[in-house]
Amino acid sequence: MRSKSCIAMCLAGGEGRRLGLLTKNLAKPAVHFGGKYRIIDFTLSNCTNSGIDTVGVLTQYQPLVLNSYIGIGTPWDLDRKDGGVTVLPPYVEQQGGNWYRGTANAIYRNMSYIEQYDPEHVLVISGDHIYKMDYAKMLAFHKSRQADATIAVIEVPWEEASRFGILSTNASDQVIDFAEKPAEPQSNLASMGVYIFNWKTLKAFLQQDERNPLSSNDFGKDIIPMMLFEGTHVCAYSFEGYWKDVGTIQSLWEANMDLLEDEPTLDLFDHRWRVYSQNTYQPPQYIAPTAKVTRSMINEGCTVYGDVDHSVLFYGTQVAAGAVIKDSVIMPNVKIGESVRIERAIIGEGTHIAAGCVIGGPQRTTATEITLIGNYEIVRKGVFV
Amino acid sequence: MKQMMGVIHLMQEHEQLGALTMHRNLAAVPFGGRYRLVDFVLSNMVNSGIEDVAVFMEHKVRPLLDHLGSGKEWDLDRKRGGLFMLPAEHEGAHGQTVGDVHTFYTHRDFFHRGTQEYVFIARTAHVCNMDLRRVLLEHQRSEAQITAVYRTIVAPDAHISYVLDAQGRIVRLDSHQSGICNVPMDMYVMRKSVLLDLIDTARAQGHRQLIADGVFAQLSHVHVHGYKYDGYVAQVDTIAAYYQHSMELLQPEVLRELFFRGAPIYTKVKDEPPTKYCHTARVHNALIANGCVINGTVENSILFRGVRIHAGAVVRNSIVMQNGEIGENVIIENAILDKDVFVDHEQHLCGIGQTPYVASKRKVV
Repeated sequence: MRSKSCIAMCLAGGEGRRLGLLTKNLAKPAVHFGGKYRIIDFTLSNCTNSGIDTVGVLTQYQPLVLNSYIGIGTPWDLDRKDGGVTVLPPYVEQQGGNWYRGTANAIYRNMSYIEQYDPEHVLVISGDHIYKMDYAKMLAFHKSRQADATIAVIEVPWEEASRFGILSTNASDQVIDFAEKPAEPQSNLASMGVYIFNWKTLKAFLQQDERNPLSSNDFGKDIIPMMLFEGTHVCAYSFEGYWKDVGTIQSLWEANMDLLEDEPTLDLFDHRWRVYSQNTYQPPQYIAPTAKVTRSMINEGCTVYGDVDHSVLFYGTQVAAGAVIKDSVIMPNVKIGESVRIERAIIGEGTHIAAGCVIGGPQRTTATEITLIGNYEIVRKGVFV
Repeated sequence: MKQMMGVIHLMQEHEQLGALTMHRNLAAVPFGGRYRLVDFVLSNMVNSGIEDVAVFMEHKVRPLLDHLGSGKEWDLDRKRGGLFMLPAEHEGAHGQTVGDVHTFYTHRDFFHRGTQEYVFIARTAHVCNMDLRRVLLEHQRSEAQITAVYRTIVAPDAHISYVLDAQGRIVRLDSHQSGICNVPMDMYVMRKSVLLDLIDTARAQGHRQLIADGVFAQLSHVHVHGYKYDGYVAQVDTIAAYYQHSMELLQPEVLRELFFRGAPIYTKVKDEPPTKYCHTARVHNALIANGCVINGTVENSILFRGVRIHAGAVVRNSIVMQNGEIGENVIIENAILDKDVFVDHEQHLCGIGQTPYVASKRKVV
């Protein structure tokens, strides 16, 4: 096998517990986003658009949907003879098997996968972030600084800084301090969970970390602090653009709404940087004479007879006449009956909402609350949620 | 169960769609917002269990080759069998092709290689969502040598019509028929051995057209059964028919019949994002593919993938193909805009009734 300059390891085992009903049967990277995508489409498309053709996807929690979705990687052009995408679930060895204990442990346990490509660099990314990033530029930066490790960082509002891993850097972009969710942040540069390591360096640290029984085997909590402590050359690569960790129902809803701005920061229409996704072979969307659609994104296979304003509709959704949908995200194959009113809600995949139901809206919830209906539910006629 | 091989027959396409077929063959004409005509017959074949498909092609094939690629979208990128793009072999001193017998003959290895017993032959002008296995089943029951598919319509103008006897055998062809017609759909199923025998006979007799000369001119000794198809069919053979049938897709029952009742219709994936409707968008009765950005008004129209409608623009009773861009305050009525057409602001393009205005590919207005 030819050796690769850089391969990617994508952490996709996250449970996404705060996404509640949406992650009951699937991992967070498989959650639907933007009318057409699953969250992991963004990182996989980033890889292929950055010229990285070898990606290991580490799965753990509820991997069934994710595994079958990724398949052999065809939608992202990652079905390759040499490399391509490989799904890496935890496996049983002679000494027995157990779950990945942490992000670093997940990589450690798949060292043999990495070694077969003999890579110079390993890109470690997370499958549950939404952003478009050219990893090739980051790799060029990493090489130009002759760093052992490079962490991508983004400026976050100071008041939110204590929710992130915060880095402090010197004038030459070298990381001098790292604090995971600090109460009093020293900077507003947040780690995006995107790392490039020289494989030799990372391998040594992973082995060292594994020997420490007190370690939680996590990149943010253990590996990076250990590297800084031992004086490894760690640099910060500044990223400007859209980046979102959709950890909660609120942030998932917000990220969808972000797309509806006139000039969204996350441009899905850029032909030079397409976001690839599995295709469902649906016919074009049909907007009926009775329909009114404004400030919305609608995917193929939808039929709309009612009013849709400031909402995202995934494929195969049917909106009957007289229904009003506002400020909402409707996941795939949802059936919405006549005269239904939906406001500030997320409706899960395959759910049927019978005629006359009222979901969400100012009378039913507080101003900021998002109403969530799970996947494959049936909301009976005339119900108020 | 692999019972049939497929042939998509694109030789001597007599259908003329003016500007739409100037640089592409009929099979590659865009239709229905995100498809090309070939998608329908090819998907019907795949959905009916056909895994070996030969495409006999002649002229202006680049767009078709680009569209079909390796056949991946139709699951036809197979190790054994799959999609075969077979160009016409020229015959005669001047390198011209005369009829299709020579092409069938030169590509007979395709038929020999497959293990299937039957061959299904179709053209691309008839848009439908048909289960071809039903045709095969009826063919097997009929004990005919060949089964030809037709549909019964009330035709105001002259058509070719099959005349059938009580057992469903086609006894003759009436041309210039009007009133109730059994209109051929250019689809045939037969045993492979029958086809190979037809090819040899046609060559020996000096025939040029395999089906016309070898079958329909010999109805007294070739047993041809008629299979009547009752589903929705759009016969796209003129610009007027193209326009009329495109507009029919805006009827929900036609849309349902073509796309939702049967198996899916596959096409080349473009990875466009969902379509974006801006706050000034007014859309009524429209079929819209992905990747469009709509700021203006769209009524009774079809937008293909990646179309931009700027603010103040009005598109009415029209078809705008892939990546079309309609500038500010433009008015377009009764028009067909081929791919990549750009209409600058304040323009007014208007066709009359059933005679749409047609803008050819990459035209800048």
